[in-house]
Amino acid sequence: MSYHHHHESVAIAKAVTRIAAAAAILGGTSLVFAPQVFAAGDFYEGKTFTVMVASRAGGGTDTTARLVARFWGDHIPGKPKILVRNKGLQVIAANELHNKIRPNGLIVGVFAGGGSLGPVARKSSSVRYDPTKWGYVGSIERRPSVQLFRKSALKRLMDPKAEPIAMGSVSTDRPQDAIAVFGAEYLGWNLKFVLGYPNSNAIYLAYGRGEIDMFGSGTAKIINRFIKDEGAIPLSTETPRRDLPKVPTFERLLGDKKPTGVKWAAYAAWTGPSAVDKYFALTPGTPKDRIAILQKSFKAATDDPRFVKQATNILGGGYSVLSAEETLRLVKGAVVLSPDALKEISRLRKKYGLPKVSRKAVPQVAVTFDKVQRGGRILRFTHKGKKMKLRVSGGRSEITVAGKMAPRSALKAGMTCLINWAKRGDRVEARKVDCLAKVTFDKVQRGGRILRFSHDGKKMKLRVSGSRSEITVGGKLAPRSALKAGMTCSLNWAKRGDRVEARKVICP
Amino acid sequence: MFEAALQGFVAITAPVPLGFLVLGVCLGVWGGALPGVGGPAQLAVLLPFAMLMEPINGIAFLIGVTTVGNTGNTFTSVLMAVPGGSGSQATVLDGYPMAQKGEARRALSAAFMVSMIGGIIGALMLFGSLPIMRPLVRSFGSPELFMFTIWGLSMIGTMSSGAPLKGLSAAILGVILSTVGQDVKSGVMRFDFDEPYLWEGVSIVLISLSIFAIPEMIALAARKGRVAEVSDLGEGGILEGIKDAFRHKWLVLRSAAVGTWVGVLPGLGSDVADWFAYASAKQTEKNTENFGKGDVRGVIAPESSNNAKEGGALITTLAFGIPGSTSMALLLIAFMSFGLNPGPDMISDPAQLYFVYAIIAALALSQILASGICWAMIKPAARICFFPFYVLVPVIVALTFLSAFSAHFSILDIVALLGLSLFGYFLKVARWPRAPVVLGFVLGPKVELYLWLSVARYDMGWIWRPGVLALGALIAFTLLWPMWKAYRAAQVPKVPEAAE
Repeated sequence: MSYHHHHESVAIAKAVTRIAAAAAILGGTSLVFAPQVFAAGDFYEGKTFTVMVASRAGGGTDTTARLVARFWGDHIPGKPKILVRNKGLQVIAANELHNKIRPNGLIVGVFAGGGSLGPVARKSSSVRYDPTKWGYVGSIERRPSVQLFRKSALKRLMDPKAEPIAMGSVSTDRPQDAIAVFGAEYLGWNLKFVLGYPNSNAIYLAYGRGEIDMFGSGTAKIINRFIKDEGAIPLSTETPRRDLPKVPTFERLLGDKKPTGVKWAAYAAWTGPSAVDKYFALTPGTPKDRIAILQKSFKAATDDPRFVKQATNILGGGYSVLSAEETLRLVKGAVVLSPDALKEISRLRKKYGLPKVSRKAVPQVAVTFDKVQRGGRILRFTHKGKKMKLRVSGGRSEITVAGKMAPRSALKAGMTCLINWAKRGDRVEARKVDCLAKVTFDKVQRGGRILRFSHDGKKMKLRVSGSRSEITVGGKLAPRSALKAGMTCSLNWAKRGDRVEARKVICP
Repeated sequence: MFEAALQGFVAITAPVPLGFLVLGVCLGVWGGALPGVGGPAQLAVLLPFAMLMEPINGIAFLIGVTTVGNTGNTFTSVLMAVPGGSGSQATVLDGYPMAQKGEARRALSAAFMVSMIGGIIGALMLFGSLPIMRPLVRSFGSPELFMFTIWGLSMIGTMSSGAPLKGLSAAILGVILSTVGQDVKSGVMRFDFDEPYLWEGVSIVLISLSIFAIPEMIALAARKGRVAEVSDLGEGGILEGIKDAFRHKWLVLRSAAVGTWVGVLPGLGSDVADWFAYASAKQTEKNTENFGKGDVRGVIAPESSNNAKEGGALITTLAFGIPGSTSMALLLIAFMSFGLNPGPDMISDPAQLYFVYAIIAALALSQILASGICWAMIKPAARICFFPFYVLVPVIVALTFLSAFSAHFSILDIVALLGLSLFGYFLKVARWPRAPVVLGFVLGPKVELYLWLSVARYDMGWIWRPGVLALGALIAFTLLWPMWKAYRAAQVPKVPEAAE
């Protein structure tokens, strides 16, 4: 082979090698990224998309959810099968959405603002979710609530000596309940509250029977029917309604008797959760691209002329569809309740014989036991600089160690536990004692997303969520990336679908 | 009105709507025959498809699916002691013992015949009473509904098989079980032990399966036998069943009237229709000592009423736009999507009246079709009574587990089923009457709700309402009449036996 021939061959070989390398890199890159490009669009193909309705079948939330579900599947790329499932209570469905459902975008929850956000605002002990962390698709708002009452009862409304007007309601989370209470307090309405009707339909029937004289509704169809057929009078509306321009808002009705400061804040807080009517939300951690697909398809479904026709017929004209951003904004505003406003609401509820606001949940605090006495019956620790002595009941106190139920005897000095308590007579008794496991991380992978350690002789792999796991290092909240191999931390965990996820990680 | 009725009938019997009606009936019967599949769950799945149809086709399909479940679920109630749905619990009390005696065909045949008759009576009531029902339904408020529930509880004595104290205790246990979960009025959680699963309360599906199905399967497995304790079913059972339906025609009519009335009253709940009819039959019929041991009248009464109640339930759904049950609520959504406006407007608007009569015609036709389909299945189905226990018990237990899982779609449903089944088995072994537990469970929440509403609205003045006083008199009669009958029977001197 000649010298030139050799160099030419080498050059060709180098070029071929470079070209091959470039092709390999490009091909590999496309293999990695191509699924991402198409995954969003093809994800829903062949799948079942579940609409989980946080109410029994037949009510307003269920009707709205089914209406949307009927057209939604046509607008989701891949046209998945749509399944509508009912979950009886708002709080239960919300707890499930937040804690149990996998964040894969295959299940959306449909809630009513009053029933799901009211308990959050009131810090109910049954709430184990944070709606500000959910992924929002959008919401449908029917019109503001109108207070309807019987024409023949008008004379009794302002006469305290006459038989009170019976105000019927399902619960006391709705704006019409707030209007009734504030009307009684500041306008002297002569009312008595009849609560506990199982649903709105029962209230309508009760009005027809003459059992109640006043109720509230936002549905145009219902309002028109009762005004036209039953002779009901619209007394006031929550906010202005175009279809009832002559009906004053409650604020205008109050006139110069309108309360100010904390008292008006209490009214705003009471009606706040219902500002979000029927909303569609996904569990925290749902991939953003899937949320985007659902947001886009939700808008397309609600713009669909077939949906518009049906919705006008069923919900009445004047409903509006809100975007995800607007919905989240309303939700964030609805769950904030100042302690003073809560106090005022509690006072009014007590005065008018309404059910008490749920017990404020005592948050759990992390403490380390200085002493554990009498086989776990007495715990001694320091909290906020004060020395505390807590009793632990065998029957009333719930004790878990590393996520498993445990007896009192499992509590030892030096353990770090999450604990809350309540007064019981002259004693202070632990309600929940959730002791963390002390472990040393063998490995911390993917920037703190995966922890590997040994516990009780078993090798464990724990996932750490950016939104659901709470991480503190040196007493301050820290990101996942702060976790390093070799750290000794106290933590607890819970199952989430088929994974095990850290709940609280406390590192020194 | 008659012109509209004729138009409605002609519209529903056109080939395409009739085809959808037949399809709906087949699906409804099939769903009813499989525990946990039928009822609102099945309707919820089929609703989106129905809403895509032409209104008349959709109406035919949905009425076919919704109103025949109680016909189909007689199979499991009679042959396996597994209540196929909430409307066939009472049927188990006499239907299963009849199957054990080798009279399964007779029980099924009588049930399907009276289901058809009861369903048609319900449809006729719907046809005749729509214009006049509004003032009648409106006259019943919370106090009157409370008295109805008390009347239901007063029938516990008749279901206690001669042990009224045990029956009362069983009913109280049922009421206590019904209080588990969140009290909707106050938001307070009761007996939940901080366990989220219990917040929604115990499901009626779990109660009825654990009280009836599992204990019977345990007993069958322990006996190592078959359902039928005879060697042959014999011939003529089907014809005998048809004759029974006509032999007890007044009972059929009375039970259908009870069922229609229970269906009409929204808030009473359709799962009490069969109990009311059963208890009413036991109180009013002669020679009822065999009730609970395989008396065909114990099958006829609940089966006639649970089909008649469909017509009653449609009365309030159509006349008021107010559904009395989950199934009716789902139907209402479908009707509205078809452009109908259930309520007073529907009855007075000629354009909608035609649909109303189409619904009535569909209701009547679906009852006839369902009974026909089920009759054709009697012979092959009745052979189940001869399957050996090692074939039948695993299948039925599996079906029961599947049905239980449909309560909340949670593994804890199975745990709850097992726990409650122990309780049900204990009741069986200790010879405690079990029906009162279910009746107490079903009526408990309604008693509490209507008493609460009555006092909240009227303080104690509700006691003096004319309807309350009239129902109070009826309850007193219900309680005292059997005692009076027994007293009179004791007074009649016994004729001494003739000496040999």
